[in-house]
Amino acid sequence: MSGMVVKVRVFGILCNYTPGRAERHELEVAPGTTAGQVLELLGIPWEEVWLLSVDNRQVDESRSLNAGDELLVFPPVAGGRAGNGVTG
Amino acid sequence: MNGGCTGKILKVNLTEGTTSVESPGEQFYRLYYGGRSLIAYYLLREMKAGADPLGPQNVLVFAAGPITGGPFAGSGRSSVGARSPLTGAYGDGEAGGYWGVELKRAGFDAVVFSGRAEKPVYLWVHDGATEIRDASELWGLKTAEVEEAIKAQVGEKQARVAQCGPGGERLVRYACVAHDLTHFAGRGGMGAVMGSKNLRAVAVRGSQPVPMADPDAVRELGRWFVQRVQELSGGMQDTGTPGVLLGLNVAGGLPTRNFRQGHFEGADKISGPTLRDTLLIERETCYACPIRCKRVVKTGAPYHVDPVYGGPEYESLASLGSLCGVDDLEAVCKANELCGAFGLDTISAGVAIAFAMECYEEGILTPAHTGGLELSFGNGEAVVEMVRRIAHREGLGDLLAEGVKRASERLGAGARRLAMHIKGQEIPMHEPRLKHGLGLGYAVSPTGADHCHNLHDTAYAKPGKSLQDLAALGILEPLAAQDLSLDKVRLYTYITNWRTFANCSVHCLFIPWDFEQTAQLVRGMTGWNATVFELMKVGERAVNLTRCFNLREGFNIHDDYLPDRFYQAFESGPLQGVAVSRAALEQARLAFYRMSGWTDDGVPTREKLHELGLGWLVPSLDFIA
Repeated sequence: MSGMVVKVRVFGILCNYTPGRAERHELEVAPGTTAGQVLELLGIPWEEVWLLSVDNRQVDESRSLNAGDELLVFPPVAGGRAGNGVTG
Repeated sequence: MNGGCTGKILKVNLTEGTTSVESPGEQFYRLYYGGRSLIAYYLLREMKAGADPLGPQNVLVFAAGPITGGPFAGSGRSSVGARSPLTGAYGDGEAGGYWGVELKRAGFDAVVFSGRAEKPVYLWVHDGATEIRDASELWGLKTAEVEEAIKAQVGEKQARVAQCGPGGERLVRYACVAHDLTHFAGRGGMGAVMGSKNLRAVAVRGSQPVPMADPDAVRELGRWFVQRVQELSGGMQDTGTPGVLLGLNVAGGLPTRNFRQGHFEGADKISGPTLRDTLLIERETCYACPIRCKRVVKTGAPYHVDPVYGGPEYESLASLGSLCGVDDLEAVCKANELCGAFGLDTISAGVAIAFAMECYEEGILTPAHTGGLELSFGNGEAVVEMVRRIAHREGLGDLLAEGVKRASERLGAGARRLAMHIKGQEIPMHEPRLKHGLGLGYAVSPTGADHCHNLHDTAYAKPGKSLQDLAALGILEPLAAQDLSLDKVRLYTYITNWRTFANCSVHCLFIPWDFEQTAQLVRGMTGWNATVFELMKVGERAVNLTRCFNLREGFNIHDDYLPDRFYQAFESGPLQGVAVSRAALEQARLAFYRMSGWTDDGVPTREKLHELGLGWLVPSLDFIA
């Protein structure tokens, strides 16, 4: 079974978890791979993710990705600060 | 005083041209700390009820806090407060940078101004010495010109300058106070209060170290954060506050076209990553902070944005961008630059222009009002031009300089429903239909709509570090962002007391110090045996002081409201169909009053004030039952 390529863009403090702390990624994954599985591949813990988006729409972790999709991964945002912590 | 505070408060009578020094003693500092609490204390004590915010009887206070100037990230902030000309309520704004640190090095914790100078002046504070100097030749100049001139006049390149701009001189009701040109005490119109007093600037320079009771403990915490800055604040380093814009847009909470929408199709073009990858030339910072979240931008033609004024924060990108339907990043940066040069709050300026754009769309304003300017949503050039006209009070700019509340009252009933303000202060760039607890906070905030001492529900909607930290206060479960239950009111009450403490200490909320670390910083700086309990009480005390100030000025439960637009559902976007429930908001407001120990009309009880050590206030406030 041939793979497909999906793009992933990781924002803010969640880049701490990604290889090389990179913001943009291209991954070759099996068809039917979900957003949640992509997070696992990149090592991003789900509890630190605020929301996921594909094509400007929110999706949940069970969303199956299609070839060419760009998954956006956002940390929680507070008053001008992206990331965790009680004071943010 | 073992450390932290200098123990001295400088008092300046601008009418008489005299200065004096007050030493209120350690108990005073232990109760009030600094910042908001100290300002509210002086306003209640020294400003007569009913004083005109733009008259000589208003009292204007610049205040640092007991941990300002410590060798750790977040200690560079200071506050400016007075009765707000925008709201008539308690008002203050905070700025980062270096000014507050320099004030303490010069020997003072705060400066309290009263009266009005006969002609334009500035105050020069230098290692305990003070001088009121002529500013006639500075009047009318842009902020960068004034900063340069003052440094030359006092012969100190390292002097730190806080000043109002030409907007403040012209009494634009949301004029800000610029600190070192790139840090702004934006909210509440404190620049207009300076202008009304003929006070153009306060320049400070000192050589005394800020005293610390336990320097080793403080330095150890400072190093702890420096070593973990990328892990804890890497996102802020990378994109600064603009980094939140895209996420809010995807969630449906990016204020767009005067809050009609929460999703902007041009968000990518004005986002944090786009700013970083295109116009950013440098990152700046505040005293002792390794994050460097401040943006510095530069452009060529047609706008030639001057990097001397730094660059836009998230609030400015949204208020001058999406809120006006503008996706031209260079135009937004130019409008932001002009707000810095003229001394305007970018939030209120953007909301005022977006209000005018909607009025124009509805025919309430016409080309006759705008002098032919096409004031349509999406017109970036028009936003830039309107900032200039507001600062100079030219044509329609004169009306908008009054703020949207007054402007809408003059334009008539059709305009009032388009005026996005609470208590007269324009709404910041956070959407109550996304964050319902924030909506409660907007309604009950003492300063009018405010996002800083507010709850941002999205941070507590899932398990994670924010919630782990809050376990120290007994809050253990996540709550949905659109929840307005009693549990949410409890969360709001705790968070606003804590964040108001940060307004008193005065420290930066972008540094992820947890509760206990913050208490350690206070202990290390002051030598006090301070606990998290004490810090929460300091915040609660400030909430009650400002509430009492507002009640004394005639505010009541009816001033704790949300604009009707937030009770109307979005017609499109990710939050299509979502609105704040008016009944739920009113129930939450009542619950907040009761949890705060206030009457059902929102008046602190005699017992609550005594519980907070504010019994002295009771005899002077006839509304206390």
